[in-house]
Amino acid sequence: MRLAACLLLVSGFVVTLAALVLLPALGMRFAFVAAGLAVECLGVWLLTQAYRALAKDAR
Amino acid sequence: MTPEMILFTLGCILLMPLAAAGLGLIHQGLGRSRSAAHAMLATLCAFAIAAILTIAIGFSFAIGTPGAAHTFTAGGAHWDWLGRGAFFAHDIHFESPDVLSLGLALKLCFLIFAAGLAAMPAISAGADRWRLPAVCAATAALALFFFPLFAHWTWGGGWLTQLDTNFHLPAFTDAGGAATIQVLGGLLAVCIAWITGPRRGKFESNGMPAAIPGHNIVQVLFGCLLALTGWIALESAASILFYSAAPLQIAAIILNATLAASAGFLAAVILTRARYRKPDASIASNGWVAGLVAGSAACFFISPVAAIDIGAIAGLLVTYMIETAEIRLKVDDPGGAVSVHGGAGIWGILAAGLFGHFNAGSHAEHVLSQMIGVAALLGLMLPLLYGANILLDRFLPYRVDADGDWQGMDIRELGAGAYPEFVIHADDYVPR
Repeated sequence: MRLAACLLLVSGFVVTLAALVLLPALGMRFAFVAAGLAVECLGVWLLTQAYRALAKDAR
Repeated sequence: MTPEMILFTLGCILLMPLAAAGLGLIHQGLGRSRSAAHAMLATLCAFAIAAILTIAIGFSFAIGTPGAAHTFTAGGAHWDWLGRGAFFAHDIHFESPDVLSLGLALKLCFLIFAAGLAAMPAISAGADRWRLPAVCAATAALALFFFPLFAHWTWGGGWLTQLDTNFHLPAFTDAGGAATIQVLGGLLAVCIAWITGPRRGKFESNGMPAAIPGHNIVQVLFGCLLALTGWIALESAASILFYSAAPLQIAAIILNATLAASAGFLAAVILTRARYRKPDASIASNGWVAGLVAGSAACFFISPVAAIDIGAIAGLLVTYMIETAEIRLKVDDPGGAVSVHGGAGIWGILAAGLFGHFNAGSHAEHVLSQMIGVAALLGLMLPLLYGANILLDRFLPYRVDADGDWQGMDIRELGAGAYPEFVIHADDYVPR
């Protein structure tokens, strides 16, 4: 779960870089960078859930 | 730079340790009394390690020799990703000062303190359970590689400052270190909070968090005032060194930092008063620091009214983020450092694009550049920091053992308490 979360984080960054390199129009870039950030937020959420589950087990 | 500006910059750099002193007081005051001396010692250790390793190696990666850098070409763009220069600052000729050496020497002085400041939030997030050797190891990794890497991107001519030449976007703006120091420190803080886990007794069997109040709120509030002075010095020095700020813009920095901190503080006071019937001093102090953090990204690019807006929103956000982190996400962060430095820092970076007054580029373009900076922090720096600290934890366990949890870090790691003449606590928060 934690590895998947880290992969999501990196994937979001790759989407952001790809938007920069491949898309010339501001609107398209904006949309894809926002999508990249959304993927990263998903990664942070997944990482948080992984540790939440660990904390629950520890209790 | 004129001789007057050089002297002023030196004065600002001299005052920068006050920011660390303020944060140190805030963090140890918000922790338990049984770990107070440990928290301050960890702060000093981190500051010392960051200073030495920044001079030894970090500076060459962050700034290096002007014109020299590790680069590659991909997608038709030239990516400058790491500085290149002599280790131990051999590029700087202290014995025969010239203009180039003077500029580099000032940046070196600034960076040794900035790297130490980036390590501060993690000490707060790991309070009461993060072992001293582990604090030193994590700070060393931060000062050797992670801080210089991102500092090069923002302040050393790296790819985030080359968004204009490579992609026809405005350069990423971080005039006061919101991204390079605060958010990076906040991300390390969340990694440490995850890896060390919650303090014993923090969460009950039903998952509800127990309140573990800070032991010295007077020191916390005094730390806020110290931090303001250090923050103004930090923002002024960074703006002069990396954005060529003029004297009038320094006046704007002083105004904006004070207004953002005040607005954040008052917003937290009013919100906690409305929600709990009485203002919460610890959350209010977090609102103060959150205002400082959020206002620092565009410290002289914004108007005083915008500084008030940014600070107030940061104060409100932090109040909710601290609660969410504790109650919903089960993150035990005694000083609220993840929310204050990470959360408010990200808001400040985006707000710089929204509220900043820039010479070129539309607001939408500036917001996009700032979003790219946030994406780099979350998408690359967070996994790198997390992976490195997981690896370090394997060799050098981060969390103190069960006895240390019960005794407190002062007795366990230092052999004596911070307040030996007073019996000031019972084992209120330790399961028996």
